[in-house]
Amino acid sequence: MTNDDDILVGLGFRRSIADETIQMKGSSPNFVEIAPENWMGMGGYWRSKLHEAAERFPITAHGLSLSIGSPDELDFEFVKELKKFLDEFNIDIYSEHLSYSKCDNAHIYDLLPIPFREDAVKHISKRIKTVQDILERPLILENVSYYTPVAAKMREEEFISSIVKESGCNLLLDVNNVYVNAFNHDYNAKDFIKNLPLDQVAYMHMAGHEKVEKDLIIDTHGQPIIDPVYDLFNYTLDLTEPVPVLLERDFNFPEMEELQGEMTNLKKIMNQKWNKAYVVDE
Amino acid sequence: MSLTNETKDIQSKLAEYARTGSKKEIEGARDDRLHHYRRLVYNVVKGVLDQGFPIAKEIMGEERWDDLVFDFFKRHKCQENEVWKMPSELVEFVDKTNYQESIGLPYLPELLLFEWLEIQVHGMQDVALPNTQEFGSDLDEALVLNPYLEIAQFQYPVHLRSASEMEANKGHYYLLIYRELDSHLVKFMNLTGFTAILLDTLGQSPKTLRHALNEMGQSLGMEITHEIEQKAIEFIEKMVEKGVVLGVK
Ligand SMILES: [Fe+2]
Repeated sequence: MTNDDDILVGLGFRRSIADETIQMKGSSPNFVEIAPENWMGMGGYWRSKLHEAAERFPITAHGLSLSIGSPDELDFEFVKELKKFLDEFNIDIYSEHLSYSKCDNAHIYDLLPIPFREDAVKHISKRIKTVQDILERPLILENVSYYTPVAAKMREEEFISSIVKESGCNLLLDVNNVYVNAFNHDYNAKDFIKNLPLDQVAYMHMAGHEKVEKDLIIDTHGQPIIDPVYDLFNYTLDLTEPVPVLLERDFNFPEMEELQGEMTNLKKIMNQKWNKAYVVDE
Repeated sequence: MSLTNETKDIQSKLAEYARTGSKKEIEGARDDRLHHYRRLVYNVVKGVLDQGFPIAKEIMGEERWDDLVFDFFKRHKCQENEVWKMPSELVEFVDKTNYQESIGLPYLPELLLFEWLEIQVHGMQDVALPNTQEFGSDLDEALVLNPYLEIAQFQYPVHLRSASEMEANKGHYYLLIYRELDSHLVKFMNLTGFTAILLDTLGQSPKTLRHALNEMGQSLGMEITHEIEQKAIEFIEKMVEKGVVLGVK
């Protein structure tokens, strides 16, 4: 039976809003999400802020540097350091991007799209298992937004589904990314979602984006969530079991009340769709 | 290895383009969209370096700074997983390539190092601190230093943050860059050659002031007079006030 404890909405813990987040009054997040690489190996002021956040909120992690789709060998030292960090802050939910950010021994510091191909499925699935073994946690991989396909030999949803099936990993479904990709690559967002292995979804992201050309959206996380993305979220929740949902906002931060408003919107939808005990008081 | 060479090559090409801006044909990719990857990657790197080196950026001016960032990311393969540490790789790159010579800014490597040290000290990993007692101005007490500090020797007065000052005043400068325990703020202080070596000696392992002075006397071939001892005590008292020396064990 679903109850209030399963309706969890989180907020990205970012430096520009660290104090506001830690001291938030009124409706506040059930958890906060951090990018571990922005805090690992770091002491002093920011470390103390992270500890303050950890005292108030459970923490989830959304990584940047794993580069699971890279042709390069995994960075085992890094994965071991990461495990120590996740253990230290009691982080159970660790997600990463289904993309690559390192190649030919050089970090790119951004997410590049992987060719949707069978050999990449095999390669990545093997790596996922290795990472899960070291971390002693399930790896949760996110569908990323991308602006051009690269030498694809299968459809994106087939690529994602094959990896989930072959590796047994979990899925971070970023509903905004589906919207962005459907727009940029001209496919139907609902059909796309319907064809994903939805029983493996362990976490969701919701975010805003920016339309930069008449046929191109860039996934900036710098704007409020737009209505069509809420609609897609509504649709998705009919097909999924309750999982934690994160509001991603990375820059162009508004007043806290606005972010709180967005979290309240998400929570309302989640309650309507997922919480059988929820009574609409309208 | 399950990845075919073909797939690997395609991934390499895309990554190389994003990293260097040099475009090659990439199979099955949209030409009108690829440039966004270069733009997004470059913006991330530039943003991190702009933030890390505000003085160098201002002194060099937008155009020369942009050229440096461009060259750096193209020619240097970044190794840091944590992007906040990536600025240290620019310091390395400039050092290795003697970049300063090509643009006639001899102080550039030191200025970049100085700015990086501020970041480094600000983010130094926390360590457990021993219990200490107040310094009694005694030569035979074992001193405990603030662990969050760096001592650096420069030929240019980089701390003055001015191109004309740096150019006009080449010499010997010793800077202490340290993090205050409570505020976590990074501060810096001018040292003399003598006090720089003294702090460095004390920092290597906890020891008494007398021990440190004797070590210095031996390695520098100088006699440690009563006057030097008094000066050293006064210096340590000042360092206690500033939080550079935490106390005695
Ligand atoms: Fe996301």
